[in-house]
Amino acid sequence: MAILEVENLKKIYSTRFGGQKVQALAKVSFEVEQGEFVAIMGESGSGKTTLLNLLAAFDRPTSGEVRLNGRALSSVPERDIASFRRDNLGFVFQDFNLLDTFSLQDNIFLPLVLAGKGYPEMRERMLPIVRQLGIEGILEKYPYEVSGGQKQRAAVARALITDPQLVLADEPTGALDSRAADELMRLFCEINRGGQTVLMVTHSTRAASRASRVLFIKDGEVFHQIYRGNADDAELYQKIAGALTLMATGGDKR
Amino acid sequence: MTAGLYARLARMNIKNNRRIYLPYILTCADMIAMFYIVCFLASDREVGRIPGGSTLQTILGFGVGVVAVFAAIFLFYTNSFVMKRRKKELGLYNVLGMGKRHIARVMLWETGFVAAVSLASGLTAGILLSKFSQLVMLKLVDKTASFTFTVSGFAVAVTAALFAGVFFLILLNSLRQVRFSSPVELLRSGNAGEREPKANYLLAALGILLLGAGYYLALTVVNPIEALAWFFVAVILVILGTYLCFISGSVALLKLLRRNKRYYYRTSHFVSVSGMFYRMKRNGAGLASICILSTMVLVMISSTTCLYLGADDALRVNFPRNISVSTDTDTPEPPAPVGAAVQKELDKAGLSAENLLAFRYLSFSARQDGDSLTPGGGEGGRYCRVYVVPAEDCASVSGKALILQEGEAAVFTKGTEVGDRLNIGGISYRVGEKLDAFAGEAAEAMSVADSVYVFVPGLDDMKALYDMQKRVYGKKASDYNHYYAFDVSAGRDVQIALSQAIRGDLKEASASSRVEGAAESWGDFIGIYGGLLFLGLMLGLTFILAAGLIMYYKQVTEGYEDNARFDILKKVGMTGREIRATINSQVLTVFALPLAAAAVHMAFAFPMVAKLLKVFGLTNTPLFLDVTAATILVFAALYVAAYLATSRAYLAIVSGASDRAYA
Repeated sequence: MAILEVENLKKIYSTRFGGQKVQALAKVSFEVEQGEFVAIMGESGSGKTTLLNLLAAFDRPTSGEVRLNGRALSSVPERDIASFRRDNLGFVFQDFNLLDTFSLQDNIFLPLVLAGKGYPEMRERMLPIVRQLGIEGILEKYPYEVSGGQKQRAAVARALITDPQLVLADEPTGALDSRAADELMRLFCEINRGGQTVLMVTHSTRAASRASRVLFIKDGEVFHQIYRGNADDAELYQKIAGALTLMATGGDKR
Repeated sequence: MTAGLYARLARMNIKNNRRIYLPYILTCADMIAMFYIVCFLASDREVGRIPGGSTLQTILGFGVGVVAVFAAIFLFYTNSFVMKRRKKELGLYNVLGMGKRHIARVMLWETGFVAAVSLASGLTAGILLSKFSQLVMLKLVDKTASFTFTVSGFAVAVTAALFAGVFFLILLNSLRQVRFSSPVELLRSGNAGEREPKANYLLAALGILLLGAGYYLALTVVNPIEALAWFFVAVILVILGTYLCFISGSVALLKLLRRNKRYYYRTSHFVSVSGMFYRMKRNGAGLASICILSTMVLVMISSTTCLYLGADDALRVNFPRNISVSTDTDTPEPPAPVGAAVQKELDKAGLSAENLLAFRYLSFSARQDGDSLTPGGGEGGRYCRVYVVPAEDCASVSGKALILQEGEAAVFTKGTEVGDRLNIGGISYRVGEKLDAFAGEAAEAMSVADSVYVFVPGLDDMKALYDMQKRVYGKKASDYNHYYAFDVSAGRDVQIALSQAIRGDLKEASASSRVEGAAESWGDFIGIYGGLLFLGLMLGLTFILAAGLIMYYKQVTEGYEDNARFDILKKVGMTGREIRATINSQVLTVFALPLAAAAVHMAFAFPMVAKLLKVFGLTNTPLFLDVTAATILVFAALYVAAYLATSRAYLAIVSGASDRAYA
């Protein structure tokens, strides 16, 4: 069953005084099945971030619809959108978005505290996650005291602790060195194998080659997609590189 | 690059940073105007000419110093806020290829612009308002001003020189900061990593201890002289205690709250406790400053207003009767010319003496040790003042006969007590009646020493004591004092003429009498009290503005910092409503704290200040209570207004975060 359905999504930004109109997304449709690990690739300005903002309900589409587990985002009233997001979606950002005023543990707890959960329950939920992510030893540290990779793992723990329907990751490896990036991707795969649906926007071919499916966006439309099938990471890497070259050299839309 | 470019850059920088610069320039202009006005009034000839004007100008001269020091410190402080926000930009210039020397030139221009604009507008405002303040001040001291408008070149020169100096120092300080930091440091200074604030429980405990000690002092001081001596000690204790409590105490408290998991992990507490934690660490000092400034304003305005309103009372305490004549002689016989001279002048003016207070007394210092009062008694015992009054004079003053046996004395004591016997320098008395009051005490009302009034049976007894203290003190011994004081129902001018006439007559009769008229001293009195009130209001206004500005800068700085935090909170699922509620409660707590603390300080300072006011002859404590309550209310209203105005700036910055997600 499709956990996420995106249908004819269109987004047009107008400049502040309404003069210029910029089309960020033209017509995007795809579905994500339960338990899939989907990577979305595209060049800067292709509309990746806009798409993610629409999926996360940070922004409203000009037209089209996003359905999470069959429920249309547009049907969620404005004042419930924050709690809807909190309960159903987990976020991992390029720049971590951890609060310097909280220890890593408190950062991880944040969504649950907002949901009004008690300390014992939060602790119970957190322990297996941080053990899996290998950060149980640094929970009392503050974000400015740990490395980028550790910060990002704490951010992943924060995304997972609500047991979300879907984890949305926006360039999660963007601010990491290659080793930390590989380690993070390994963890994403592991989490995905545990049944968690993940949708990741990325620039990095290497990161995308760990996904089970790769979608390519160009000029606000889904341009192409590659299923992993039985290919291993290296083969998928080759396919993605080929597709990117094709896109860059201006191949026609198939 | 040309000089024109630097000037243009500097002007653009100020314009682009107007949210930071405008309040800064306003503060500078305000301080300059304030300083000019005080300086002008302190040197104005018209003010100097009025009765009591020189006293007034002495007080104002003191005010000039206070305003100068305060303005310098405060401008430095505000400039540090400006610099903190500017560093990133300066770092960018550095990275873009401007050398530090070029940056220095831009900053020279910037400081120059700020100095020029604020000096010009400050002096203009000061000059325009100086006449108004002169009118207000002269009104306060009950005089009318002429309608000439003067500009004091001297005051302008002093003001310009002082503030040019201050701006120069500020420039040097800013240049030092640029000089000693690398471009990367400059660039990053906006988001330097936060250190977890250490809760220093020792310092927090020390703060509470100091505060407690200050409060204890304020509450336990009994007599006005002690109050004067301990007041500054108490003030310093409380200031130190306040700073420690705000800086360490608050962090310690929040840390304890955070340990309590049931309390901490609640939606309403989680974000605000952690936010306050960092906020208090950085703002502790600023908030403590706001608190101290507020307390100063409260103490200053309530006490000076009270003094001013109670000036008539104070005058009456200093001068228990409108006119008093006191004559020192070496015989207990009344000097003939006094009564005659007074009666002659009263008849001439068609007036009569009312509330006559006439009696003889002999006063000398002694040391009291139990029942013995020893003149010149070395180091033993407590210092006190002995007043010897013959029984017949006591009777005529109180209108009630005082019958004493041979060797018996009646006593009235103030600040001390005596037993059943009395030994005054070897002369013994049995203590008979102990009086509850003695109207003649008013003649020495300004004396704050412990006093023992001894009423002796006859003039012979008085003579014996006179001889005794003469032997002890020799040349420094006291004479008999014949005190003759009365009221007249006449205006101040008539009273002044009358006391002058009596003085003239007595001088002719070559009597060594001192004639004092309350009306003659009125000018000095109201000069002092009016001057103090005026200065209190001026300084109060300056401090309020300062506190408001600190508040504004805190809000703006925090706005920029919290902006990013609330953005993140929004992303992880906090609703706009929750964010706004958190912001409100946090900001409100932080800013209500200094006001509440200031009110508590004021409450504890009250008994001490009330005693201090007694030194100035003001004993009307209910009046002081009313004035204090009114001051606190007015101040709280101003404070809330300042808070509302500045929190708008904060919300304008932060609400960007709550709206941006739905841009």
